[in-house]
Order: sequence, then C-alpha cells, then structure tokens
Amino acid sequence: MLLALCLLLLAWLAPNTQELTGYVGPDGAYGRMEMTNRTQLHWRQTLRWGVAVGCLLALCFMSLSHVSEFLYFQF
Amino acid sequence: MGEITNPVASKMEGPSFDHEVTLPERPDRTSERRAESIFAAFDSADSANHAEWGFHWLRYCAVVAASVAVLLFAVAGINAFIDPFGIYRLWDIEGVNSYKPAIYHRVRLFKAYEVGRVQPQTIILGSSRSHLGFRCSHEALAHLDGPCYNLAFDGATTREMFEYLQHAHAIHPLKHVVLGLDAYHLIDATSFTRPDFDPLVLLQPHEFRAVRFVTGDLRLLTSFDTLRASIDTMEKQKEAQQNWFSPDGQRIGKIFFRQVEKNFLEFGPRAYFDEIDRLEVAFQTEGMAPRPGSQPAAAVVDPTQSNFAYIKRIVDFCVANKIDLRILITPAHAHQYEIARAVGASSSIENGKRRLVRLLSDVAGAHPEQPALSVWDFSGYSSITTEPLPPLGSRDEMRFYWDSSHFKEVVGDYVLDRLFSVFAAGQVVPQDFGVQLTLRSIEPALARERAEQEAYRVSHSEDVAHLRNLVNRAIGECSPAVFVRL
Repeated sequence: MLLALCLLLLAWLAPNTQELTGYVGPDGAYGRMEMTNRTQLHWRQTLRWGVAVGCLLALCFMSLSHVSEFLYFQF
Repeated sequence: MGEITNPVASKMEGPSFDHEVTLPERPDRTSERRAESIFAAFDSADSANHAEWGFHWLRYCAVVAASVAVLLFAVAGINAFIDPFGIYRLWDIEGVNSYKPAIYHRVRLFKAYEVGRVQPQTIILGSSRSHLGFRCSHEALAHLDGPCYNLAFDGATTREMFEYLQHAHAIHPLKHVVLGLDAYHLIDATSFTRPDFDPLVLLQPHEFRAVRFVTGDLRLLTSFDTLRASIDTMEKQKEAQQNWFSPDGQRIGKIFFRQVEKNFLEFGPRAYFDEIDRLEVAFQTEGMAPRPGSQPAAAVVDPTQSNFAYIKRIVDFCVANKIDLRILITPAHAHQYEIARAVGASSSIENGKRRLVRLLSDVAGAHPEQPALSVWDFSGYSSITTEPLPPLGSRDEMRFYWDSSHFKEVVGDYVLDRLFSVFAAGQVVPQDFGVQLTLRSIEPALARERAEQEAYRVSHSEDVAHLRNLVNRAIGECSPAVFVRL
C-alpha cells in the first residue's frame, strides 16, 4: 500500500520524459505548449546523467529475466 | 510561459564531464530533423560543429555503456560469489553462503547445473517419487560405468524429462537411463512444463556451450531475482536446516521428513499421510466441478505434444544413441489408485499401460538389432502398495511409505533390484511386487490388478469409503459425463 502510494506520487508529481528532455516533438505535432517549468531536473549531456541513465538501463536489463520457483504440494 | 523553439540547445547546455560546455546547436535544424535520430547529424554534416556534437554524444554514450557494464559486472560478481542457486559452487563459506535455501524451490535449475558438474553416464528420470525413492549408491547402479545422478524432480512432466535427457546427454554421453513414470504420465493429455522449467539453461544436442553461457549463466547472474536470492541467502545463514539434497541428486527422505517437513514432524506420519490423500484428491479433481452455466469443453490434445509423444521421443532418443533404457511405473500406495478409480481415471491408466507396451513393442520391431525394451509395473496392489496405515493418532511411521504418493528408499531398492535383476544379500523382493509388461502379459496383468483391487476394496472398505467421500465432496455436483472424459 505504501509502495503504491509512493509510486502514485511519483507518477503525478515527478517530471515526465518530455519535461526532463525538453522534447516538444516535430513542429506542429503537439502544437505550441506551455512550459510549466515545475522542475529543475533537466536531462543534460553530463557525466552524472550518463551514469544515472546507465544505471537505469542496467536495472532494466536485470529485470528482463525472472528465476521462477516451484512448490509442488508443500515440498 | 513561453514558446519552446530550441529544445535541444536549451537542454544540452550545462556542465559537461569536466568543465562547463555549451554544446553546439545542430546546424540546419528543420522541423523534420528534430524528430530524427542523433546520428542524423553524421549523415549530412561535415562541419566542425557536427564533429564536436557527435563527439559529445559518443562520449555520453560511452559513459552510459560503462555504467551499465560496471553495474551488471558488480551484480554478476556478487551473485557468482554467493551463488544462491548452486550454479557454480565455487566458494561455500560457512556462515556466508554454504546454506542455500533457494535451491530447494528451484530444483530444476539446480539440477540442470549439477548435471554439468557430475557429468553422469547414468541418470534417473522421474517425478518426486523417483527423486525420493532411488539412490545411485544402489548396488545395481553403483556398478555401472561412470557416475550416476538422480535427475528426477518434483512434478516432472514427460516433456521436461525429455529436455533434461537431451541436456544430460549433450553434457556427457549417457549409457544408462532409468525412467520412472507415474500414473499421470500415462494419461493422454498434453504435456507441459512447470513454472521453474527454464529451457535456456539446458543444452540441446550439438549446441555450443557458449550459447548456454549467455542465455543461461549470464542472464541468471545479472538478474534481479538472483540478487534478491543472494541477499536472502546471506540473511538466512543462521537459520540453516539440514541439507536433504544428496550429492547424487536424491532427496534424502530420512532428513527431509524427520527433520525438515513441518507437518510430518508436528502432526505425525499418519496425519501427514491423510493430508497427502486430501491433496491428491484436490489435484485429481481440479477443474472437474463445472462452472455455473458453462458447458465443459472437450480436451484437445495435440498428438505431437502429448505425454506419449514425449515418452516416444525419450525412447527414440535412447534407441538412437544406444542408451540402455529401463522403464518402470512407480509404486504409489493403493490409496492413490483408489482415488484415481473414484475420479474415473482407472480405465485411462489401464489404456495408458497398454499404449506404452505397444509403443515399446513397435520400437523394438523397428530396431531388431537392439535389446528389447520393456516396462516394469510396480503400481497396483501388492504386499508393498497395500501396506496398512498406522492407527489414527499414532505417530508410528510406515515401513514402505512417507505418504500415499512417496515410497521409501527400501521400496526404491526393491524396484532397482527387479529392474536390474540384482539379488542383494538379505533383501528379498516380495514375489507379488512388480510385473514385467509385454504384449503377451499386459492383459492378464491388468485382469489380475482389477481382481486385486476388488479384494482390496473388500478388505479395506472403510479406507475406500473415506477416499470416495473425499472425492465426492471435492467434485460436488459434477456430472458423470465429466468423470468419464477426465
């Protein structure tokens, strides 16, 4: 429950990928948009961001496979 | 509020790796190009700006790649050291990783790698009954060439057995295979795999081991689940229980039931026996009770994926590779057959035995140069399988059974004695235990089994009535038509 609440807060309050990268799409695709500028967290081509993105990518790789367990009867 | 006119330039400026750098804006930025990949700049640009822009991107990508590699390498290192699934067994350090609770719920995975270490020339295939009942130190197996390994595991299906047979043979050519089949393997149903079956850790014939290293080892070593299991392994070192895994792959019943299995210890052998009866009823009647308003659908069995298709593959594989194959039908307690009869599966099991005998006869006919294949049937009603239960409330153990499904090692020894025609000193296999099924002997054997079943129903009428009650309660309003089809 607590985890779900945290994830909801993350989904509602954290910047989305467009805000992080400042991407507005090809001209005309989304029209003129208002930049709310609610976060100071902007992706930059820096060492810190490189490491952070690398770690996230590694976590994605680590989550790709699962090692299932099996209980037959109560064994 | 403001119009975003130059997003890339506005976001890419800022501190770089070691000094403040403002990246050059990509030239000729048209609206189409903004949606193109970062590599588009390399296609058309030859200016210094483009080169610098590309250099920064490459450097950034190198940092990302290095971060990925470092983190994955670190995780793989931790997992290889703790080794929660017993894949490598490089360092078993007391108090750190010597106790590996994770392997007990991932027996298929553990055994896939254990086969690689043992490199057996003799393997035992089968379900938990074979896993518990057969030891490689038995006189018949100990004298065969090369190491022996009990490759049976809980709930094994025929498809899984075939995959593990190929795997073991790919690791080291096999000479002998003991195949223990249960009644549910003989029912014409689609074979399947259990949740912990992982084909990517198994070697296929003529497959490069490097492929398995990537699909199996690397994948497991860099998995979150493995990392969690590593942490769990370290945390549980102080709760270490007796190891019930023998080095030859057998589940050691004496340790498992007398020291680990909580219900067996707490409630006693008789209560445990009854509990397994109830579980077996639930297992055999699963899905039999119709949902309200629904018509039961007919089971469709793909002939290439059926139990028998995989049994045939096992037989063909052994014949093609000149592997000595010994097949047996495992000796469950008579209660198991009474439950099967109560759910209407007796005729399916009989037909399964007939079909198995026919299959072996056909293969023998096609390969007259090879020794004839046969199957030993230890199921049914014998002085072993009809062993009386201890009185209710008693804590006495049975001589031959842990529960109605799992026989003890002494019974496994009897089976191996029969299978390999070994006559151990001081150990006489009961005369009525085990019958070799052939085209000629199958019908008299089945007729005898039916007669013995009737006799058992008379002599153990209370037991039989109790089991029938359990089944009736489990299936509720199930119609007779459903009984027959299942």
